[in-house]
Amino acid sequence: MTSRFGKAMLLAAVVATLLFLLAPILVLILSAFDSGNVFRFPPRVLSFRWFETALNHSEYRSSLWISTVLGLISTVIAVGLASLAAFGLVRGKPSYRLAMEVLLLAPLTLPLVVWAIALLSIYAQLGINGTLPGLILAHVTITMPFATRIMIAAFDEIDPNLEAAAKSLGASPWQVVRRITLPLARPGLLSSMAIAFLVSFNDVVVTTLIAGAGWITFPVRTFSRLRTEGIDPTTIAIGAMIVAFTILVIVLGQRLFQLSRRF
Amino acid sequence: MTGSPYLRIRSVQKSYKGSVALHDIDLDVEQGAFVSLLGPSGCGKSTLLQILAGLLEPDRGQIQLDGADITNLPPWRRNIGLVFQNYALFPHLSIRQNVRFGLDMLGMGRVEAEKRVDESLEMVGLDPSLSRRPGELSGGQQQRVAIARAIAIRPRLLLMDEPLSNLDAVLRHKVRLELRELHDRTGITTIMVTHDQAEALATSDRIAVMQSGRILQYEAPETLYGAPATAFIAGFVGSPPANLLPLTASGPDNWTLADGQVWQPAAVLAPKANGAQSGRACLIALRPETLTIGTSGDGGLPARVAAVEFNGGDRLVHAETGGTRITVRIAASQAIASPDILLFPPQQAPVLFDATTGTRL
Repeated sequence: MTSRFGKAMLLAAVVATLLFLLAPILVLILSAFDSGNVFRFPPRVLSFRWFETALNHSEYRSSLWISTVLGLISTVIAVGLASLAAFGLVRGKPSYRLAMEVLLLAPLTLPLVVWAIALLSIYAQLGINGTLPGLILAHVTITMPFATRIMIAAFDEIDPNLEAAAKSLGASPWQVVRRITLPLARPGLLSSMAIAFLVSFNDVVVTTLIAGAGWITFPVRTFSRLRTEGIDPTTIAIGAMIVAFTILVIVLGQRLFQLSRRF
Repeated sequence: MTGSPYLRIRSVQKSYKGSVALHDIDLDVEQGAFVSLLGPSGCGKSTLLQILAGLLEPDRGQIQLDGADITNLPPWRRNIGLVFQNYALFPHLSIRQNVRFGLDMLGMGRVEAEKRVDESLEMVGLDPSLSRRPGELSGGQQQRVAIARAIAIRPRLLLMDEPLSNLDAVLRHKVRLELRELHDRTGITTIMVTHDQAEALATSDRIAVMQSGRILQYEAPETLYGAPATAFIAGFVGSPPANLLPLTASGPDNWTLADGQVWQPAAVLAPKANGAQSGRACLIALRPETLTIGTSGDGGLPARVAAVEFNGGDRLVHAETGGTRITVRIAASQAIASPDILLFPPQQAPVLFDATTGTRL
């Protein structure tokens, strides 16, 4: 009896936690299909009206484009640098490894606003405020701690004997990286790219200060609209599309990953 | 010995952060030999293996293989096969791809490489049509794949680092025999690192016993067993190892044991016959199977039986004499009537060591 009661409690806890975590997404997706002029929940009349508006809205379109390009470029740079740093720390085993790991996490210890203000004054000196390179650099800075953390864990899991075995079989250092290390680090690489992209894509604070008026990303535009005009149903529809896109990517990625493991 | 040996290690030294892992190692290996590096953990045997593989650089010294200096050659140009204790199979590649890896690195054509993979897998007793991932295999099968992968490249030297220690006792026994058979079939010069003396004795042509970064003795297993160079080797090699009985010369004809008991042995075992001056503290190595048990006679060591182990084919008698535990192997048919017995060492020149230095007298 107690175990049945225990199971019921466990199920209730799981459902409650999932609801708590996923409720915002449900609210978002359901309200996106509402026809009202303002955000409301639950939706009353179903329509695709706000999806149409969103797709035709040139400002949102350009902001989404900026966010995506910025996210992709800074992800590639951040994960590239993070992988090099992590590989050096894990395989080189320098005596300062722990100190360096902590230093690389430093951007997470300060509130982002403080970080953004500091970046702003540095970039002003360098004359790259409000430019795309400046913005990319700032995003690399805030995404690298996550990417580094994940890559250190990923490389730590690879048995160094595998690399030694490959070398003894005639693989040069570059062939070892390409044929052994990178394929084995792939799950880590994918998750650090996903996290870095999301951190970049979702950032408001640093982008608002660094980008100026030139490069308005999607979250920055949504946030500024929110303050001037309240909740715009267009953003809800865009949000719903982003969620749908993310789910699609995850499902496809999972499928591809499983296929690649099988063959 | 004519000409220079196939593998020649000269004055190789290695230190890690001030602590010496290898002191001045010299070692020659003949072509086609099976050599074991035997010693307790931390003796430097794995360090030496890694230096041979090119994964570690020696601080000093030289390594020659087949007449060429390979000391500074990177591992991927050495063509030396390596088998790891944990097998180190590539988990993202199939078994065949694992075995093919080295052949792909050589740039071997597809048809030839596939044929070589078949040969190598058959050589270690695996089905070449095995299309699974390494993670789906048992430990014993993984080990075979690791060996097949190493021999597929037809290495100039095969190095194995504790290849049997991750297998269970039954399998270990079987595989060590297979290792030797494989060696005899392929003729690949093989160096195996092990801490298990029985493994080394069973498989090797020669064994280098190592301790604290030095090679203590490098001999055929029979020599190592019968004429150990140090007390450490005598007490390490053999199952069970030799008994080491401490005794002090107390005259030309007799010894005094640790508990003060005086022993007057047969003439060939006496201090006089072995050049031990009165007062010299020694250790005598007594192999369990060379001792005989009696109840009367001259030259016997009085002992008291503490326990008798029955092992099927033989019995191990554990007896105390002069404050030391002595193990004696007797036939299973022989019975021990009384706990008070006499131990008779063989009547031949004994193996004696200096008690303080452990070196042969």
